Amino acid sequence: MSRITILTVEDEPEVREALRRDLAPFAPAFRLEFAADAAEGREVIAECAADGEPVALVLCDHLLPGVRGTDFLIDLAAEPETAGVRKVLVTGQAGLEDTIRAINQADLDHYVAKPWDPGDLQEVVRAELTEWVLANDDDLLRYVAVLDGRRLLEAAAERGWDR
Amino acid sequence: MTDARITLLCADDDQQHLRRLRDALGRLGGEVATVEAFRNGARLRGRAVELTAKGIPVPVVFVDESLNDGHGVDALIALAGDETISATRKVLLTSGTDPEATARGVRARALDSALTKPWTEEQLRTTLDRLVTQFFVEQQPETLERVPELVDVGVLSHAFAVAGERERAAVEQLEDLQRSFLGDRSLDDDEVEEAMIEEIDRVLAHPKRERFPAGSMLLRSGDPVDGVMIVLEGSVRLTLDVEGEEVVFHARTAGRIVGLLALARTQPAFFNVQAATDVVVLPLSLDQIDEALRRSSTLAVHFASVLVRSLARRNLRSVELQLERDHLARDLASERDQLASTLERLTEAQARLVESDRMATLGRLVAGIGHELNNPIAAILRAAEHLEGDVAGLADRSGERALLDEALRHRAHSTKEERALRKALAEAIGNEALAERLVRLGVYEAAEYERRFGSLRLAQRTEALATLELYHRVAAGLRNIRSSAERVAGLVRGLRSYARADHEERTDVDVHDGLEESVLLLGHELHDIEVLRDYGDLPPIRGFPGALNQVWTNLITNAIQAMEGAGTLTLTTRREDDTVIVEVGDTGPGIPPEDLERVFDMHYTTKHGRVEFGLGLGLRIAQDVVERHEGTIEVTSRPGETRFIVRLPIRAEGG
Repeated sequence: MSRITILTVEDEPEVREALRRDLAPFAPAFRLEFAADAAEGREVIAECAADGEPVALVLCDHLLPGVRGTDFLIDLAAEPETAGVRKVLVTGQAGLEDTIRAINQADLDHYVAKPWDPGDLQEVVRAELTEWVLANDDDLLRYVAVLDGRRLLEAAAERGWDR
Repeated sequence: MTDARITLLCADDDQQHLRRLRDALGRLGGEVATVEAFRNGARLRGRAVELTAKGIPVPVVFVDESLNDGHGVDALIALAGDETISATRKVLLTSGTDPEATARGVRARALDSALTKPWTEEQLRTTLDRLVTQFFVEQQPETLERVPELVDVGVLSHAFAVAGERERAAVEQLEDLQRSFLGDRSLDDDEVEEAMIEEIDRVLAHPKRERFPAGSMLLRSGDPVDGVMIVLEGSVRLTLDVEGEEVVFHARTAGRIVGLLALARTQPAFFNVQAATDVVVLPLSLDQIDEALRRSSTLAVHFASVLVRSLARRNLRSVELQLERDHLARDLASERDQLASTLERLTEAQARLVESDRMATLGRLVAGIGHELNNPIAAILRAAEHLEGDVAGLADRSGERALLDEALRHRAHSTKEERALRKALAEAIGNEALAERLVRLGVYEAAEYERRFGSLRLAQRTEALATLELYHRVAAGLRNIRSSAERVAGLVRGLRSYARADHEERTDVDVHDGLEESVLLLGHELHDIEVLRDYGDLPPIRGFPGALNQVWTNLITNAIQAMEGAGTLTLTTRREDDTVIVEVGDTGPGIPPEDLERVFDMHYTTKHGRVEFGLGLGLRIAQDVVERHEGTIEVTSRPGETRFIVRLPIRAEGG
């Protein structure tokens, strides 16, 4: 199977660059895509689908021009093709109400507050991708080096080495 | 004498005497009188009744004391008892030997005259004339001329005199009656009362006065009232016990006649009546009043007059009280309204104080934080500069300065452009991962890649790419540090001038700077809002920059909320003579016309919360600040376009 994609939606270039740097450890095994707003995020998702490199994780700011981050995530959750994507809100300004809405309606998987700690962020990304791989990928061993190797090995053992 | 006009009757048991009497009467009566003689009293009476019933007058009968059927006096008494002939005059002929009998007749009012026997014809004529005249004057004066021979001039003149007297009395009585209801209006109350008292004294023979010392209770509320008391000297006061408290009534309610109200209503006394000073009163019972009124029509007039006046006075007093009460009620209502509006103003003022206190606290906090932030920002900016210099030094030493400069010059593309460039390059060189790295290093075309890296062996190429990537990361980091720190510095500047509002002094203010600082501060709310600026050429104005920033912030916040976060915000400035005009427009749903006037009221909010800001104080505070600058603020609104227009003098008087 080909690569899977991590999509980051963030409108401020400086913040986007910082996220890019912090996500660099995942670059060898995953396709990293960046979008400045929700509309572009959708384009990226469509392109990745066309390339056969599905989006496994969306890191999304809340305060975006146009559609808000939480609403974008809620929309993704409502569509069958993207319902399974792991969703993380990376924000400094989503109010409690928006966050609760995202948890209830977008099946939000994690919330990362700005400013973030790079280690924590990487941990979150690793855990979420592991979940996605376990749910969607047959070739678990490919990700043992970059994701939660222990969990992946255990799961692979359960499924049987022949697979 | 069938044509005789009157008949005279006489009676005597003695035949000789009767004849003499009849003849004498016949002579005296002449042509107008028929004379009939009887020896029996009862027969005479029957004849008199019969004749009178026929319309033949029987003016006089002459009856001797001795008759066949008894004493003449008894016959006359019987005659007097018959009402049909009560007008007939009755004369007794008496010998004078039985005074007892005569007295009996007088007592029974059965005798008009008596003649002592032996009578003379002259005596008989005098008596006859007098009685006939009386009879006709009384019964049918218009027929007097029928009996001219019998008319007694003295009686007639007396009759006329009496009639005149009666007429005058009647006229006077009528006049009294005509005056009666209101009495003599030329008299004042005291005079009428004096007149009444005089008249009472006259007809009731000066009834007894009573004297009471001050404080005496003359009448208690609820006592039965069987008369009145007229206060002759001193004064009384009326009181009433109301829920355990004594209410004293106005002196004019009292007047001089006590008990009048109760008497008029035939009810127990209404008031307590107490002597205010030593008093002399004239008590009159109901019987005494009735008696006095019977005896004097004048008194009735006075009494009625006093009564009417007294009641009128009380009524007037009660009308005055009603008016007074209404007046008081009106005063009370207006005072209550004033209090209500004062309370409202106080509540508003308090809310504004609380709000401005909150703002002041916030302002000090923000100013403090801003100040504290300046140092780390300065340090960050300086550190970034130093880093750049140090990295440049390192690059010089390793002969890679050109690479650093190239990285520092690099300008990032948008994510979209980057993707497109990457895609194109990946197709050209057949390696997507490499294409991504190259695009981020500013290498966009296969030819350039070939030119720069084509001559290198694979290991050298990898090394060169990694080095270039490092310089790019360093450069991007430095760039990001600088731009982020500058942004923070800008925010702090905005916050600090915003927080200065409290103690600041008038200075020259650049309105555009203020607007831009506000836009910067509210940047996080303006993501989906397009901000259009149409700035004219403005001179600095004299004012308080922090306070004015508060105006712009409040107006822009209001616009953002009206548009529910999405739409177009228009900031327009221009100069008109000595005034600067700033318009803040939004594309929200607009303010309903009926609410436009209340927009600056403290608690103005719409149902859907479209114009809602903080405590509803935002616009009010803006108005206050503008007014402090001697400017004006107004609003125009229709769906899709609401504009707040602020006019500020360039040089306010206060500045």
